[in-house]
Amino acid sequence: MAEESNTDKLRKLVHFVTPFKSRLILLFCLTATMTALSMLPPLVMKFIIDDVITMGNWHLLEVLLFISICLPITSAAMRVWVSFTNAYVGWGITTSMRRFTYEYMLKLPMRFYDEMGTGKIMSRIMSDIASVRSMVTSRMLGILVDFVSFWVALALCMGLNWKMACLLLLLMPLYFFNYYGWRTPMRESYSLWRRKMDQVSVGLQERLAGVQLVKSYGRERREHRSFAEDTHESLDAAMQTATNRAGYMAGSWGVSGLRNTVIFCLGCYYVIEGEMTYGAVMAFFSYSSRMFQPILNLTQIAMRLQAVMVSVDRVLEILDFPIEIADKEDAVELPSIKGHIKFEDVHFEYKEDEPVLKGINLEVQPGQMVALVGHTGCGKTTLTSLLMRFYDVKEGRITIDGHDLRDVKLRSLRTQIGQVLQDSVMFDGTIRENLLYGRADATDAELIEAARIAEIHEFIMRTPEGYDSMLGKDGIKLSVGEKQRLAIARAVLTNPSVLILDEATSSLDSLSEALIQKAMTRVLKERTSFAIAHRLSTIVNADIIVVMDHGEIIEQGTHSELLQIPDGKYRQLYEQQAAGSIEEAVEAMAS
Amino acid sequence: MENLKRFTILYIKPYWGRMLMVIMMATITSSYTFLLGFISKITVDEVLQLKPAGEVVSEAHMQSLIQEETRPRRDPQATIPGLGKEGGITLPKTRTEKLEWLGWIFILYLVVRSFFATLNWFYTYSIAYLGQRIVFRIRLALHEKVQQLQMTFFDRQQTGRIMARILDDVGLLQSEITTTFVETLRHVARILMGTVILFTIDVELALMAFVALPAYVVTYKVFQRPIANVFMRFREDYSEVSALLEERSKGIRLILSYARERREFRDFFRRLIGLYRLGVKQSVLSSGLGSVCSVVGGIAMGLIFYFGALQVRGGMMTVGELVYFSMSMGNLFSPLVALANVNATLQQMLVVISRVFEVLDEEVIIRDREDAKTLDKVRGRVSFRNVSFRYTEAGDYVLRDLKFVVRPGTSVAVVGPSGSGKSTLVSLLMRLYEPTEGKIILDDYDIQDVKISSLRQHISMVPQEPVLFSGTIADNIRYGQPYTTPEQVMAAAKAAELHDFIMTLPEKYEAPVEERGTNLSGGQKQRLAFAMAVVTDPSILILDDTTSALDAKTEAKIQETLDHLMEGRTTFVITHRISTAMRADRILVLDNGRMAGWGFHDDLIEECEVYRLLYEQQQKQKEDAADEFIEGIMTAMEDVEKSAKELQATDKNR
Repeated sequence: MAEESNTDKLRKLVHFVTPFKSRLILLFCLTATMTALSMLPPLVMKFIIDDVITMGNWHLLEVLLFISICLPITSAAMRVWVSFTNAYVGWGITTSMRRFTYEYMLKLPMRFYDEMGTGKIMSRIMSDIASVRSMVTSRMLGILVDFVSFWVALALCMGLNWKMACLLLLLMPLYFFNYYGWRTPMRESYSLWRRKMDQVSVGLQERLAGVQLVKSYGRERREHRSFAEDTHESLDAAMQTATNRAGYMAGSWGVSGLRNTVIFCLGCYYVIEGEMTYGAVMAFFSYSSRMFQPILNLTQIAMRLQAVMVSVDRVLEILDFPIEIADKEDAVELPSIKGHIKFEDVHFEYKEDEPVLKGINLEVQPGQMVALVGHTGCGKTTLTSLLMRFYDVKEGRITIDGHDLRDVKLRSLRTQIGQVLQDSVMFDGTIRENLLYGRADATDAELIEAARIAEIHEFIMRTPEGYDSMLGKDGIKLSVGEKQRLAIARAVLTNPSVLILDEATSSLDSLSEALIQKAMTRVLKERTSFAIAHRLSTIVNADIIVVMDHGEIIEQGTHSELLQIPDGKYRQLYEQQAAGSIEEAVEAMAS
Repeated sequence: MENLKRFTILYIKPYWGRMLMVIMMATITSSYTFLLGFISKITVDEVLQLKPAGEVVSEAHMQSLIQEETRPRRDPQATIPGLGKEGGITLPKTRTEKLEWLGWIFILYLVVRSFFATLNWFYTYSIAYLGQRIVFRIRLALHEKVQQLQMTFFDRQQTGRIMARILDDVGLLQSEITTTFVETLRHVARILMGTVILFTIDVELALMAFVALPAYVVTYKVFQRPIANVFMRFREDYSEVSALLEERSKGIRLILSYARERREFRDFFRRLIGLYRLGVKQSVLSSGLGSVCSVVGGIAMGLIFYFGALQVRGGMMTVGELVYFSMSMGNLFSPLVALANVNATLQQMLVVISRVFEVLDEEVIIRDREDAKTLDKVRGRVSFRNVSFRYTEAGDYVLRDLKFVVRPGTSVAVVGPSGSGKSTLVSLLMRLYEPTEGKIILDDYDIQDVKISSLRQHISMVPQEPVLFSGTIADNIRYGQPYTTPEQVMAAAKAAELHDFIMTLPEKYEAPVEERGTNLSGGQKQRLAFAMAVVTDPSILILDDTTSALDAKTEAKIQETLDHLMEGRTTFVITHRISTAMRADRILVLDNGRMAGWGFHDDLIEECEVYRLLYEQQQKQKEDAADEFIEGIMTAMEDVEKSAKELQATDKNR
């Protein structure tokens, strides 16, 4: 893909700004006026010194007093107006960008979330968007202010004394020399510092998340030492940056000092020669610094713009991510699912040339329970993700009641399929809110029934506030089993036609496991369902058991059918697991 | 304020020498603008000799006006103040003389400018140096503290928040320390100097200038409260939005599977709009404050010029003095505005400082006693003596009155329903938490009397959810024992049945492990954790429900390894599977934090109801499975017989 130019990138974001066009123009006009207004006070002073005091036009004094009182009031009013408009436009852009990005993000396929990770998504939506916005409202505005003040100040200087104004222009390159001299070292040391800080931050994050490991191996002191080393390195880089900065600043102070000295003394010379009044010298003095400030800013702007462009890139990482999975234009509502599901030669891969599913063929009749069996990483979970259309198949197709998944509306598909994940997610909020997540209009009776089916009602009633107990960081902590049962209740409440239970029964103690099994048997009845479980004992009743290995279905049939295959994979698995049980069973019988 | 004092003593004091230097430099640099003003005054009065003119009247009339004055009139042509009175230097009269004077002024000006540019360079550098140093110290202190803190701290605090304290908050301090500590002093110095100068120039005008001061204070007071309120609400809303975003992007599968995108989006949008309003309000309020302040300053300046001009006209003041006065006053108001802002940053800084101290003041409950002993060798006799435990003082007991002794080299299975306190029990043994009551004795020592590091060195835990750090596979394996040879690492990997897998990787043992081990499967992570434990050669081994994440095949394979590993070590096996528990020498049954049973399988079946229930439940499942299995085999055999008969039949037919 050809490298996009910065303009192209910005063009993509420009439509966030267009709705605010008229306000933005207003903002620019206001700012320009305000800048011009701020040029007046030195002129007033000039008049007081020259015309009033030196020349004796005392009657002008009252007028000038009036002007010098009105000026700050006007410019203060303007300032409030500008800052209101600025905030209005700036926050408007931020909000609409965040809104759009979030909306867009929700349309993106799972692949996006797999690749990006929560932290990156967060920083893009929160800080990067703010930084992009700052380009419009503070950088562009800043450039405008600088532009206006440079030209106005230059014009005024020319008017006051053109010879001195020309001299000023001659001094200007000195600033640029200073800037270009320091630019590279400043930039290099700054990026070194950033890199070091990132290193510190990544290391710290990992250590804190894995604090139990650190502690259980007694590595605190070593971790501290390595943190200290890393931080020290970042300190050195920071000091290098500070040194360079100070050097640059000293350079520009030097140039300013030279400029001021020359202007002041030359001005006074002209006064002595009678070519200029002292008031004019003072005014010239003020304007010359107004003229040079923009140049100082200009040198910074290049640096800031680069930072903004990085943010633009990052935001575009989200906005340029293709919506791989979306409703086709002629997508139809999936009618109420009966449950006839067919996988036809389904191929899939997460990464190029690393196939996860290699030609899956599977037909499920309405109401059947399908159990997926196989080693970790054989593609069981992927298969169910494809059914939810979290990903699209690479080859082949999946149909439900004869509809290709890609031809129906996503919403109509997903609302009819329930899913219980291995690590069930609960959001901050009450138990009730979480249970109602899939169906907000359920009645209390339905809610309680769903909870009963999932064997979680009693647990909920034992919590201090029952269904209104808070979950999450400030609320009650749930065990894996409780979470899972809540997730089952949540799924049941939507009364899905197809249910997917992903490894729902592993890593639990047998009491919770028993509860969950009880819940599952109830839930799975009368529904087309897919179950992924490690414990074969939980799936012997399945209508179809699908044994998978390295992305392929190697055996398929009922429990007893599969056991008859000599040297069959299922038989091996089953024997392994049952071996222990039989021993125990025999022992139990014997005793 | 208490915190500020502590902060100063702890982190500023060690640098007091440099600090003093910086403050001195700050004070000197603050006189800079006044000096320039004074030079201007001399130039105007002595060199240029500007004089006020009358009301466009004749020189004679002007003279008579002057003579009418009763008050002594300052004559710019008299002498240079301070210099001239005794020295009696006469002022330049001719053009050449004036130019000569101007030449001297030029040199003076240049010297002053370059002196201050150099000083400023030093100042900037020193301030950066101080800020960075101080922050470095704070970061180290925070990190050290966090490393010492017990698990309860981490249970309460989220990783992100601790991170923010150590990195972001403190980073904020670094930029603010300079403004708040030094710049404040600089501003104060400027104000004092300015005040003195204003009063020496003209008392009446100075008094007038100071009338503006109360107006400043009032404005500031009026705006302060609403600004602080809006600012706080904004921060709160902002962090709420980020929290929401974080939660939702973590739980994206859920959102997608319930097709809740639209509702989620609406919810997010609603919060964004709230943030929008607050954002606008915040900036309008703060620009309002700035504007009112500048109005006050502007009007004061206008009035000063007005009355100053009148003073000059009346001859009470020279033109140069007016210039000097106005320049000095401008320099007086800008630090006032800055000081008003300093308060805001100071408040912010105080928040950060109090957060820093919140962490630093966190009590290290679990730490080495002063006379803590080092454990060289551990036989592995573990005894719990009436151990009770609860996480918080208000909370329920998680463990109650545990009493048992484990002989060296034997294994104990800890069984019980989830939430019965199994994991807590081993955490106590590792001293990740401290028992609320009772004692845990290892060999002959109370574990509270030995050095924590030496205790943990002898204990290895394989957690339920293994934690891995980014680095290579080898790095992770030798995490507990950094000086392990590659051979030992390989041996450990072999023992954990991981070697074969590692050899399939292109980089073998140097293959990278990504953050949190996302590039490894659950089983691989688990086995890596085993290898980690093997390398440290612990006397006590804790297996926290280690095999449940593995599939049956790997479990069977690893079981041998485990048996081998457990030989000669005291082992705690946390499990919910009775079949696993039965392999252990003793079984400890926990129920709701109490010891429901202790002993052998057969006895427990008889005596312990909880155990029996657990057993029966699993038994039933297994019997069902076994029945199915036997049934399966029977049918299979029947089928075989049948086909054999058919074969025979066909044979006969032939």
